Amino acid sequence: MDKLERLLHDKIGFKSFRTGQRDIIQSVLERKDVVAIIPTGGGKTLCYQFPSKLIDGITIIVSPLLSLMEDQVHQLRAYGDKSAVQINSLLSFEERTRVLKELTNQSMLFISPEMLGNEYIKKRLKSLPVGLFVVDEAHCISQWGHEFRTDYLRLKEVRALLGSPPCLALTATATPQVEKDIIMELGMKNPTIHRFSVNRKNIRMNINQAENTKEKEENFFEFLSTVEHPGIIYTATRNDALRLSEKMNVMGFNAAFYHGGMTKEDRILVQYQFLNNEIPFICATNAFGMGVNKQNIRTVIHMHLPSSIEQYVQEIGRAGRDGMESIATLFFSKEDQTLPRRFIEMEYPTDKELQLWLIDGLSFYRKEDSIQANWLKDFFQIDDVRWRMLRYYLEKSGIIHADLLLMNKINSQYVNRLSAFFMNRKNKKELCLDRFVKLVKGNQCIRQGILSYFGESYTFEQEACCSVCGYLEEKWEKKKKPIQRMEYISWQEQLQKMLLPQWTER
Amino acid sequence: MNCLDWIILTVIERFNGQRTSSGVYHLIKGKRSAQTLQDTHLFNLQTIVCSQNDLEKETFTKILDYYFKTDMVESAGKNIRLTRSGMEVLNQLNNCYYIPQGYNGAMFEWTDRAPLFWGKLSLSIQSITYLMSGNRTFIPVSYEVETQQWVKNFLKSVNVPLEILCEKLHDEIYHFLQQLSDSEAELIVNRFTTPKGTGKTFHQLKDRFKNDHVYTRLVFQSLLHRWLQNIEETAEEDSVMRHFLDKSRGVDLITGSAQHTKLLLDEGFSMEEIITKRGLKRSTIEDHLVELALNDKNFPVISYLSEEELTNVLSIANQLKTKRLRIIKEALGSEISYFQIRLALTKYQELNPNG
Ligand SMILES: Nc1ncnc2c1ncn2[C@@H]1O[C@H](COP(=O)(O)OP(=O)(O)OP(=O)(O)O)[C@@H](O)[C@H]1O
Ligand SMILES: [Mg+2]
Ligand SMILES: [Zn+2]
Repeated sequence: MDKLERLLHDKIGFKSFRTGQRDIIQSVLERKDVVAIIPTGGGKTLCYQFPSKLIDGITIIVSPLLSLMEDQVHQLRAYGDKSAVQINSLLSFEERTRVLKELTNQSMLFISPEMLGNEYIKKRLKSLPVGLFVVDEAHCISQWGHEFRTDYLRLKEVRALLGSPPCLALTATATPQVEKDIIMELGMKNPTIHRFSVNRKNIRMNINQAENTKEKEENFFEFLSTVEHPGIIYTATRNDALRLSEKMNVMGFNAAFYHGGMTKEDRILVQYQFLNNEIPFICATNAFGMGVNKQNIRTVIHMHLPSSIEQYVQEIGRAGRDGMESIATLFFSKEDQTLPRRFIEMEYPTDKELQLWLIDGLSFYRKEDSIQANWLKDFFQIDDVRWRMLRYYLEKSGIIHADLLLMNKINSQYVNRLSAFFMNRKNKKELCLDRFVKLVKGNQCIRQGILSYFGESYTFEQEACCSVCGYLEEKWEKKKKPIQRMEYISWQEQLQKMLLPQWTER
Repeated sequence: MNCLDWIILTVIERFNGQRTSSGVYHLIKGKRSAQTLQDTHLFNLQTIVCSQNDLEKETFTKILDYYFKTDMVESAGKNIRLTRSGMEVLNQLNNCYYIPQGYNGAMFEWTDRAPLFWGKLSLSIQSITYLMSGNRTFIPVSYEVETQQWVKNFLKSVNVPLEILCEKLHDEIYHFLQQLSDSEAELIVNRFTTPKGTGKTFHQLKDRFKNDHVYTRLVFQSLLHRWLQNIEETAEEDSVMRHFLDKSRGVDLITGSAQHTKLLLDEGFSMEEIITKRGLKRSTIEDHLVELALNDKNFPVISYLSEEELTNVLSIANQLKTKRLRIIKEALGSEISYFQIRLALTKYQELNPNG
């Protein structure tokens, strides 16, 4: 055990570093700018958690997804690291102020990108010594990544404002192009790049094609009775997650569902049941993806087409984080392509609509300086998804300010620019989907396809690889554990077991 | 059609074409505004107010879109009302659902008393049982920092060994649960998280409650309401459960800001003085006064409008069978302000018990 390892054991309790962690942490401690690409489950959290205890100044971690941030902070705190705190839109003003007041040199402050636009918060952070600036899931920065990317574009500026502390960008899924984007968008100078293969050797990939939805579902249930749990089943919509879980329950597979529309309390309970191995299966939308950390997930199933190779890799990456054999299966039928294409289509206003809403529509109000922004939504009955998108960009370009739409700032030049921008986004998304569909339908090794997408080559050294290379069913030992049925006990007995265990077990 | 539809349609029916769909949403969501407060009292919706405090706007919008598409509701100007077929649906739902015994949204949900009580109780049970089992690391079922802090302090302040605390908790919880039906008692017990098992979601518990998770939640809330009432009225001085009651929050439907206005009024300041003193808009202070009037039968409405104006407003409202301010104002045609009409309407229930 060397010095760093001893410190690791003292501060965190781990015995040794995993692949890549030592190099990355060393670079961070040398105060270099670092881009670290380690596969899902590779242990990226440690790469900032550990340094935050050794360096001077607070560690700021920018994290893209609200629920992910909440879970992560609470899990870190629950396991004893009380230096993890968060600031996001879910907190009240008072709570945010309190968090900011109580920051110390050792703090790990998780913050959502949009909060870094807040003047008050920026001012407060500026007065603090910041030792490290971390961007987790950094692929979201790239134009190929996250939708509301503009929030990320201010990271460079914020970092400069904080006195340009060393920067660490982490992700599992960065193509060489995305890596370049990350470096540029964060204004990194001569960054040290630690790239490790995206390949997860212990996850076998399996694609099951069916003629139609009915056959797909039959295949799914047949398959389900052969797989090991715990397992996650990804669906396209919230409703699908709910319905599939109910059907699974009827068929005797104990399943719960998880999606972004549930109350926080229910989300916590379902996650907790799953983490504690009380329910074997969880049907989920992509809200239960990136960052979710449970050691022993054996099975990940997709009942729909993820929107990109990145998303697929992130989601199957929930499996086998303990290093044991796991399996990822995608069920696919011809009809499945329609839905994701429609999702993309539905997300953006068309040229015609932009013209109608922003030019023709607003011409009624030519004489006014400004109108209520929501008038547009109400008058044209714009659906929530597209209104949120449009409003976001109108706010970013200062056309909507304090709920008012400023008339003199809108002209046809702007509208043309906006439609070109939306068109471009739409095309990119379609391209991402196309690449994934090609991977699924092609007869090329899936692992090779994924690796080459991320700029790696593959030497086919793996025995159990994918359904194209030969799914190797016979090698898949059926270790299926029976699903335990809860036996009925009366509330009296249950209450006693809960609160007076010493009586019951005597 | 399910329990959520029943609640939404019930509110639309009560509003009787006099409020917008946002008004409906704010009511069941329990928005803390003077308007929602007034609607609650005017339309006698104290039971149901805030019952869907976890409802997302998006979900609500989708449901309403569906009602419009299937002609269950129609526009009445900016407002909405039930159509005949919507009414029929509601009648059918009325046969299936009813407000569970003891349910009172205004008293326990709007004031946050039930959610706070449950947050503190369930996290305490989780913490205590995990500590008892020798397990110090667990992920709290409540992400609320305030609740976590409260439980920490609570555990420090009760000066008894954990085992004794558990026994006391067991006995007091048992005492309440045995007054319930078995399925109700199970509903409560199954929501607790302990090392023996994680709490279940309402979806997972809906079997015995009309297979409807919203209804299941409604029953659960009603049990909390009964429990709170029960503790307040009958618990011994040294009861553990008393700790989970909230002493700091007001019992009534008054917003924090209105409380400040009330203090100043009580000290004898005039409305004009309060406006300057607090640096708030006139309309805000007016909202406060209406809110105070709604909550206090003895509020001196007469200081803000004449006896005659008061009777005029009430008789017009009665005559035209409306509570819409604009219509009343047009009918009266005098200099009476919207604020005065709103104040007058706070007396409507009182003087027209059947209205
Ligand atoms: N050096 C180590 N020794 C033991 N366990 C470790 C070590 N590093 C990380 N782990 C464990 O590995 C698991 C995965 O780590 P982590 O959640 O940081 O992965 P990640 O790289 O962020 O994955 P994702 O890309 O999916 O977010 C965690 O349970 C963590 O505690
Ligand atoms: Mg992670
Ligand atoms: Zn292969």
